[in-house]
Amino acid sequence: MLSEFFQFTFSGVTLGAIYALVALGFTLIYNASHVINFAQGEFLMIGGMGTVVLLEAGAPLPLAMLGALLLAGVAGVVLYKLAIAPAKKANVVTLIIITIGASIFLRGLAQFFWGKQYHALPRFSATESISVGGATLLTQSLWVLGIAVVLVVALALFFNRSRLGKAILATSMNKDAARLAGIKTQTILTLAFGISALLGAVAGVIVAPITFTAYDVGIMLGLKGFVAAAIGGLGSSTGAIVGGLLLGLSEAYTAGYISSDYKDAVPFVIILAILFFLPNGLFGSRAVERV
Amino acid sequence: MTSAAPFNALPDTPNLLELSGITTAYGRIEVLHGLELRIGAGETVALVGANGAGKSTLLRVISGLQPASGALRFDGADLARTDAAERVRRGIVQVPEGRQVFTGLSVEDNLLLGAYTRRDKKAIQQDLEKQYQRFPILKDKRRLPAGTLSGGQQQMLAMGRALMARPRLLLLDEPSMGLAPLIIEQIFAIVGELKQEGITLFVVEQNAAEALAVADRGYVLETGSIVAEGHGQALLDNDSVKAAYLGG
Repeated sequence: MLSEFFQFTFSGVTLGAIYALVALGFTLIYNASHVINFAQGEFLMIGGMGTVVLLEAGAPLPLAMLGALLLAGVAGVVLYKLAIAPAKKANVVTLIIITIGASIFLRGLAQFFWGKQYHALPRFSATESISVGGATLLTQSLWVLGIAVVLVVALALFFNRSRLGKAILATSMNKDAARLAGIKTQTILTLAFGISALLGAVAGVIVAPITFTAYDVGIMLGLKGFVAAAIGGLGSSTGAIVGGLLLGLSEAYTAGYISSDYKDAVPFVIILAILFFLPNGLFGSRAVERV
Repeated sequence: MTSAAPFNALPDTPNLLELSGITTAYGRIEVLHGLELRIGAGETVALVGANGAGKSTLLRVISGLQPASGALRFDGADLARTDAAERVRRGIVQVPEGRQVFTGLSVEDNLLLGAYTRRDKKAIQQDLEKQYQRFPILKDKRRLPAGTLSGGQQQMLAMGRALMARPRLLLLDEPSMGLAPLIIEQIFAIVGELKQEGITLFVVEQNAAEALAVADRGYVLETGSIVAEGHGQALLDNDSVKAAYLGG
């Protein structure tokens, strides 16, 4: 019994770490621009699929991953420059719809150039799994957790210690005041989209050896990441991490103890409950509208 | 411009800021109609006027947040193609209306962000100490989020943040807004100090009495046009200005 519980917990935490990274991407862009970027999932797809394609072209795994991350980062910047920035006078709902359009466009491009097949990435370590307390722990799960922790710590340092990180925070808190301090807010927004795309792509690469990747994996992973961000309260990074882990665990326990048929329904039941009872999420600000 | 001949007074020093024919609109509504205004180097100039006269809009135009037609020259250079960030780097720094501190960041981070356009680390540290001397309360609270400060303390923080940019022209938008009389006195005492230090000041106020008392010259703005200008004391003594802005 206990070994079963461990098993579900391992897979829940692994999934949760992925959702947390996607949710952090949502949070970053939301804070900087108040836009909910529904193309966030496509960055995961570009990370995973880009790596697959580069591997097939003969690049070694680390180089293929690096190339895919770069591609996703560029996609993030281009998304901002070509789709969001030109519409800066539009209201936020319009911008959100633009991101949905962009996600369909990116998915279409991937389908056209990279095909519709599902691919598996090789795992990062030679050993497939180790046994812990009677449960099987995939080595790839350790990679996922390790990389997620490193990224979270790096982000925390970036925002708390660096001048640029603080400039992003300042822009998200008060754009006009940031401009009056001499911060180029356009550059800051571009940067936020780029970093957010990178985060998503890293999540897409590290999860690909466990869950497979294809041109359309971004839809589900993106939506679940959004749910994780909403659980935590959009805009809160702590909330994004907690929301991601909560979501991953509840999915894993539902799949294990009830039925894996209901696994994908969990996030949507949770988000309904959150929207009814806690519209600001667990860590969200209580203010209705930030001015 | 209406004939305001008795008050007409030009700066004795070379122009630091020179506006001519400044017109701007929000959508179809024109808020400033061909404004003419000069601020000489080292001067303290007040702009008074009622709510909605366009005072804050004018400051937003000068800072580059609000696009406008007409000519804007700073230290002899045309600013038409200079964005907000570059204007700060050149020394046009604004303390915006309502303080607008970065509420979630610490007091010290707020001050340091004021020096965002500067690279001279050592001098930035020295300037930080200077602000702490000027506003000792900010030093006591330097690790706290700016949002936890009182209104007066936030005003001091906003001024400190602006001073961290080493302004040549400091724009103050309603520094007394929403503050208790005692705090207003403190704030204007600091404005007086800055004037002594030789910083060129442009103070926008509804509180005309305080602003004109500290100013060398003043302008009166009414629904987007300058209707009177002159030496601070002359404007204060002027009957129509008194009637309109000083409550009799």
